[in-house]
Amino acid sequence: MNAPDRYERFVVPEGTKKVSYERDTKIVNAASFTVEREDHTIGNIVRMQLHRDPNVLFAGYKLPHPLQYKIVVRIHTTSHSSPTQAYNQAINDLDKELDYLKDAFEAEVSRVGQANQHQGF
Amino acid sequence: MEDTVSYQRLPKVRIREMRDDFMKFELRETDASMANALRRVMIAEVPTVAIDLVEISVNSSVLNDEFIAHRLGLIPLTSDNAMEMRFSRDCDSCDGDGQCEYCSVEFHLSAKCESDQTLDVTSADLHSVDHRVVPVDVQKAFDSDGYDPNQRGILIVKLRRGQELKLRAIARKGIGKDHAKWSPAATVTFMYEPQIHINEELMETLTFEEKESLVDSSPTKVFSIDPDTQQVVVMDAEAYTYDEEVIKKAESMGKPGLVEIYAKEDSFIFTVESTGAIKAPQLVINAIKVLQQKLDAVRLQDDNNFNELDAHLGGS
Amino acid sequence: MDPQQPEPVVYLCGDCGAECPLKSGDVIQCRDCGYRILYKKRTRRIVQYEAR
Repeated sequence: MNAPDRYERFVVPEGTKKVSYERDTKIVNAASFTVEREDHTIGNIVRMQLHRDPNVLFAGYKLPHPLQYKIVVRIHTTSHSSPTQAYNQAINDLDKELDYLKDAFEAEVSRVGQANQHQGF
Repeated sequence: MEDTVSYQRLPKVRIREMRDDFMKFELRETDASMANALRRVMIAEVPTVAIDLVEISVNSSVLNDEFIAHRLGLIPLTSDNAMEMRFSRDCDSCDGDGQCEYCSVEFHLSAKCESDQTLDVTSADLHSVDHRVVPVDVQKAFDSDGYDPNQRGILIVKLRRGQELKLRAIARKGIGKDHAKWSPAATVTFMYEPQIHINEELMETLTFEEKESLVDSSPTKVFSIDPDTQQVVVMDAEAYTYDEEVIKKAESMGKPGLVEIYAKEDSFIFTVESTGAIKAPQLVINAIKVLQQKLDAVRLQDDNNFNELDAHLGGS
Repeated sequence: MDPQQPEPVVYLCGDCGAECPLKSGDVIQCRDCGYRILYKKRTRRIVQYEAR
């Protein structure tokens, strides 16, 4: 009866920022990014991509509570980079990887599609 | 800023099997986070169309209204144009009621049993106003344009003489995260590709009976014995379920290292089964697109603490 | 509600299906067949449900 609407899990409420950023007060080049209405799908790929960046000293994400529909990504970098730079870089690289994967997959689908046609499928 | 550096990967794909409702492919040169993100998106975030609102005017069947409404919701509908449709919650051409042509499709059903024989009301009795959005089994029957007595549509309710069902239904775009009826995936799985090494030197010290019991120790048929050479060979590496039974068997025989099995951590074997709402290959492509849209949405916006960015860049 | 003129409600017989108008105080019984289980009629209004 009083259950929250299911769409609250993925619709960002009006007046709320999708991504907010907070610098660490004690450590330089460390920051936390709070991403609203996202979960392990985004959290884990961003974390793993950040680990590929040698300037990233620490990258981790957490889902603070299963009923709070947000994740917190924490990044600590060397002085050659910054958390925001590393975060943007990770997202750009993932986007490019998916672009490449989409083209590769579509090419493979048309190749197999033609092969299937020859076999009379 | 070092815009030229990139840690981007170039994943490789090879399709092994491809049908409309099933596919099996290899994904290589990426990691488990990417494989899992794709799996999760296929199950819960690729949009489809499903019946979401039902207006019942007559129902004298044995099933109550809610029960029928729920059953209608679960019927998979062809959703090839779902990516281009609008979610009714952010559709601006209809004022919030979610019943315009951009965000919804109307269905009508009217059935009455007039004979002494039980009347089956099925998905084939649902009449859509948009030919692109129809129950998947109806589309399938249409494509094969032959009447199949075993393919009579998805049963909704049975009517006896005098019973009647009349309703109007609205189908809307949605995602599996909201309700499982919108999930286009029946199952999506991936596994690490196993790499099996047999220590041939050590294997030669085994008797034929020992070899047989080693082969039989695996719960799935991974190994077999070559009838000519009497050697233990890997018959089907992918049948391995990471149960480690053969490894334990080798140890109990006093031959540790006889068989070594590693998971290749950058190679995945995917199986995708579709409900038919979206064809399996298109489902994977849509998942990639949706994941890209999600990544785009989590980019830092320009107004987002831009001054602090410079403060961080003190070193470089 | 005026207790002097109670409005009859039409029920359906559970056995023969005949219509059976009843007022308050009436015996709950079908006039045609005497069956004692009566059902309320379905509303004539269109009812809306979420298919969830």
